Amino acid sequence: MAKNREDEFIHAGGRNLLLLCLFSVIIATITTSVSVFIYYKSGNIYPDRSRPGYIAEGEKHDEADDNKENFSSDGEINAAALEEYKEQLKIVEERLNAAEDAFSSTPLSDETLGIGY
Amino acid sequence: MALSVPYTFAEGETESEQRMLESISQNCASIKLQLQRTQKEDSRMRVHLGAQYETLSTNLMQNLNIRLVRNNKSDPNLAEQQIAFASERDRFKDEFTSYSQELDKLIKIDCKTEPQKFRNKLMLVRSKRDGLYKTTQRLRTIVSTHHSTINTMIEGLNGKE
Repeated sequence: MAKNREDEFIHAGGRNLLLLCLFSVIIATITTSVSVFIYYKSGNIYPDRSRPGYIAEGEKHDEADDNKENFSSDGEINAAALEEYKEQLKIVEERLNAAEDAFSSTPLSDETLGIGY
Repeated sequence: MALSVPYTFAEGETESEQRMLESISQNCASIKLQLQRTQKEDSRMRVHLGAQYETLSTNLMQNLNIRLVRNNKSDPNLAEQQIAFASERDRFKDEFTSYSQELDKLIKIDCKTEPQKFRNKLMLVRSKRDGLYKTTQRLRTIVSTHHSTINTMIEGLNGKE
C-alpha cells in the first residue's frame, strides 16, 4: 500500500518536472519571438553592427576614439571659450564633410547596378 | 522545391521597358550582390553619421546652450539651431529605418522571375534613399550655419574685449 503511494508520488513528480520543462521552453520561445519581432520592427537591426557576421572582423573600426569632443556646460562665456568650442565643432564638421556623399543616388543607379547596360 | 521560371514579357510593354526588364532578369545575381554591398556600407555609414550627430547635438550644441543660459547670455539663434538639428537627426533615424526595411524587401524579391515587381520596388527604395540624402544635407547646412553664428559671436566678443 505504502509502496504504491510512493510510486504514485514519484510518478506525479516526474510528470510535473516534465510539464515544468515544457512550459519553460514554450515561454522562452514566445518571449524570444516577441523580442526578435520588436528588434526587426523598431529598425534597430539595420544599424546594429553586432549582428553576427554582419561586418567581418578585419573591417571593424573602433570609433570610440573618434568621438571625444565634449564642451563643458560649466564655465565662463568669452572669446577663448568659444574658440575652444569652434575647434571641437570643426573636427566633427570635417568628419561630416568627408561623408558628404553618404546616401547619394550612385550605388542604386541603373549604371551601378548594371541595368540596361 | 520551387523552380525559378524566367520572366516572360507581356504584350504592350515598350521595347525599352522590355530591354530594361530583360536586363534585370539576366543580371539578377550581380544586382543582388551590389545591393547587399550597399546595404552593408549603408549600415556602417548610419553608425558613423549617427555617432557624429549625437556628439554634435549632445556634447556640443546642448552643452553650449546650457553654458550660455548659466551665464545669462542665451542666444535664440543657437537655441533654434539646436532644436532644428535634433529634429533633423530624429528624422534621419526614422528615414534610415524606413529605407532599410524597403531595401531588405527589395533584396528578397526574385528579380529573375519578377523583374517588374523588382523595378517598382527599386524606384521606391531610390526615393527613400533620396529623402535620406536630403536630410543629411540639411544637417550639414545647419552645422555650417551654426559655425557662422559662432564666428559672429566670437567677433562680437573680441570687439568688446
